[in-house]
Amino acid sequence: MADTATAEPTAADDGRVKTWLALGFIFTLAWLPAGAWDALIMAALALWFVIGWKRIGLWMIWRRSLIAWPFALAALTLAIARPGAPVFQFTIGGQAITATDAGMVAAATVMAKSWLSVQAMLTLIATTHFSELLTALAALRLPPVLILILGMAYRYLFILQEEALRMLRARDSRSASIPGQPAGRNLFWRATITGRMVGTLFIRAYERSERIYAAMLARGYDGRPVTATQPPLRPTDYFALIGGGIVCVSLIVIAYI
Amino acid sequence: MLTITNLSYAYPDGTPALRGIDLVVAAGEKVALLGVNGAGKSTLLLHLNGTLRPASGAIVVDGLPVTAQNLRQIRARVGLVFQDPDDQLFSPTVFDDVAFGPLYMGLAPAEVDQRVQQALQAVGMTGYEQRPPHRLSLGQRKRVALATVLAMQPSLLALDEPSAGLDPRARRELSELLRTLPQTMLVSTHDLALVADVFPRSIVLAEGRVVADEATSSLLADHDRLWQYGLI
Amino acid sequence: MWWQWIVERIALGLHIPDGFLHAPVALLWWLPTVIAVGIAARAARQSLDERAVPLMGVMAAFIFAAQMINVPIAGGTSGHLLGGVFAALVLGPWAGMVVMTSVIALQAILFQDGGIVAMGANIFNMGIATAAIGGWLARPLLIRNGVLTANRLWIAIVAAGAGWLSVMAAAALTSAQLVLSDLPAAIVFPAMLSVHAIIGIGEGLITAAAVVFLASTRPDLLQATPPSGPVMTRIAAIGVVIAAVITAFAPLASPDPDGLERVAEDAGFITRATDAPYQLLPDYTIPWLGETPLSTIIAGLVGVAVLIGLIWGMSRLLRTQPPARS
Ligand SMILES: Nc1ncnc2c1ncn2[C@@H]1O[C@H](COP(=O)(O)OP(=O)(O)OP(=O)(O)O)[C@@H](O)[C@H]1O
Ligand SMILES: [Mg+2]
Repeated sequence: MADTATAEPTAADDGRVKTWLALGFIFTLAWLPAGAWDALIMAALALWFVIGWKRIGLWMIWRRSLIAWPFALAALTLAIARPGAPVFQFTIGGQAITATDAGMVAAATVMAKSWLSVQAMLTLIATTHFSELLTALAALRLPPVLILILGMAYRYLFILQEEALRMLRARDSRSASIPGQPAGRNLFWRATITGRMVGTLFIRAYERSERIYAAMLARGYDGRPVTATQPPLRPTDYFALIGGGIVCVSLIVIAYI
Repeated sequence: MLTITNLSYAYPDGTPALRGIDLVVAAGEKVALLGVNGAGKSTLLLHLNGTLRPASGAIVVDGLPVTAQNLRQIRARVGLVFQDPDDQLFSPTVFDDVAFGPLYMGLAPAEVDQRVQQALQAVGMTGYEQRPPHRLSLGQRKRVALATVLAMQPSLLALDEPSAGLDPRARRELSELLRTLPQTMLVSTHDLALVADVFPRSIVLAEGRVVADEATSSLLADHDRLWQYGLI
Repeated sequence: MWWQWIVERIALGLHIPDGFLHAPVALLWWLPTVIAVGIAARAARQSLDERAVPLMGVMAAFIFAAQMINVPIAGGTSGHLLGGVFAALVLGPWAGMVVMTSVIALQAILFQDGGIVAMGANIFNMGIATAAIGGWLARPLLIRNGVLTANRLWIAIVAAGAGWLSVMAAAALTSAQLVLSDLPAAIVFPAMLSVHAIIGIGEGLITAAAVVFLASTRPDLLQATPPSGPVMTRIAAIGVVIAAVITAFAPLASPDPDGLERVAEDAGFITRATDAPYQLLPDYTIPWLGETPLSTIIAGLVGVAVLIGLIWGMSRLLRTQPPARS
């Protein structure tokens, strides 16, 4: 989770540089064609090198990247969707299904790209405070209102999640069953209860936003977004950006020649 | 009735909250759980109905171990009231909230109605059925929170600071109510008057350990130890 | 249980990760998203003035938290709220879009739920489309001239219908994008649409219960945001057209535009699936034009036109027959 980010090792690096590099890396991955193994391996090595260099902990990143794999199952459908030489065949419900070589290459490419992208994001948030991320996005010309809203959402995210969690806990605590009696009535009733919990949480959140608004007004807020001026990039930041840019461009070049 | 053996727990952020709790409570016994802020009282109570899962150790209620498979049955037996009533009350009206447990258990509507009325009467909140909980005062919310589990007629009541925030008369009524209820009780509190009134036995927690487990009369008579435990 | 976690993550399969969409497809979907969010941010700020930031910020956090509140369905699996329709019903379509955009962005950044390059598509599917259904289809049916209808049953039906429809729309859009990126249509469409037809029921029920609850406790909150005028609707229509055009022209950008269906035939599998009821236009081509990109494009346009027509007709039909007030 982002709030347990270990910011120390790279605190010296500019958040904007890290964010742009991560985004650039992920966008580069998106352009790599199926079967571009040399480029994918180079991309992986480059990313893992940075992870090792900045002492972020490759294991931690890999463990967290497991979150991506259930969706990766969908990529398996590619294996049977592409024309090519059949590799193996199996039957489901009387249907003969053939996995082709080209299909398996496509599926593996998608999984590799997906996994590397998640690792890049994990690396970014493990080393960058959320406020730095917002600064980086603001420098990319996102509307200031949106930046402020994202910041506000992040500020109250964990508070409201905690509140939702406590509601769930209270509901579970009284979701009891006595032997010989079917529990939980029916789906319709349970959904109604859930909907009312959502409504209750909504009212609490809405009223909280009104208190926050009052508190902001009390401190002179007038609706205009206040954006802090950003310090200029240092020479090392430019080196990092240029280096990252070269890596990205060479990945593309390697993939297409 | 309740047997806890070697129960330890640390919160996900690493804070150790319980360190090897051993405890046996007989059926019908009323036990006070004492200790300074952060001693681990709430954490212990949250284990009784499986809201928190122990890192090590075991809890058995009425011969039924608290495990994932038994959770629904455990929750019919253990009535847990959270310290903060806003954690307890999640429904749009007082009636809905008190009725949730009985409805979930599959009781007939007439029976549910009757239980809600009984429970609200016991806590002195008759007439508030249609009020939204978040529009009640803190003391009123605490009483409704208690009613929500009374309506389920559990055999063990685990109450977390039930008297905090109540006015003197409400405390007196709570004390009276707890004395007359037949259930086994484990009640965390800082209210020594309530302890003296209701609970023959007291347990003191400090830093996640049981440091005293004895008759309330002898504990309350020992001024030095009360001081040492931070109870006065 | 670990398998429940997997089931839930697959069921939530509307968050497309990076790597799945072909780069041109992903980038093209950024276009309508950026336009819609840009308009939405401006419109929401105008109608909510200085309250916009605290309200929408906290509401985004709320949707995030509300998505945790599950409804136990059966066998340990449970349904969750997506929330787009609810957000648009209570906050209006524009604020709803901004809120959902923030939610989806935070999910991608903080929890890697959904990719970065794919975020344009994800925001469009789960944020823009759902909020449009909630705000432009359902909201006018419930709130007329700033007054909420008193008929609870009607509220429940509209909210539930819009909730279900929003999940189906998001699933259909997600499937379309995956198919444009060469995933097999014969698997993706039936699988996504059938799974989400069920997931949508949870969305519909929860949305309906939540909105009915609000209608009975705080109807003022539902009526607070100004109704969207004809100008807004016109802008919205333009947005829909842009989206339609992009859907249609994306095959040109895709390296292997007509690959899917041909593959299915070449490999000789799922022959039965191709005459599934989902196949409105056989093989996504217009028969007499043959299997060319042009034919795919026209097929796509026809599909989108049919969809818009359906929604428009439905809203007209429902509007001219105001429900009896109770
Ligand atoms: N959610 C949590 N995450 C991390 N640590 C927690 C959490 N809740 C409690 N703790 C810690 O666990 C320890 C025991 O807390 P607990 O709430 O059980 O104390 P308590 O005896 O109930 O105190 P009080 O009298 O204030 O209610 C404390 O050190 C507390 O800081
Ligand atoms: Mg406590």
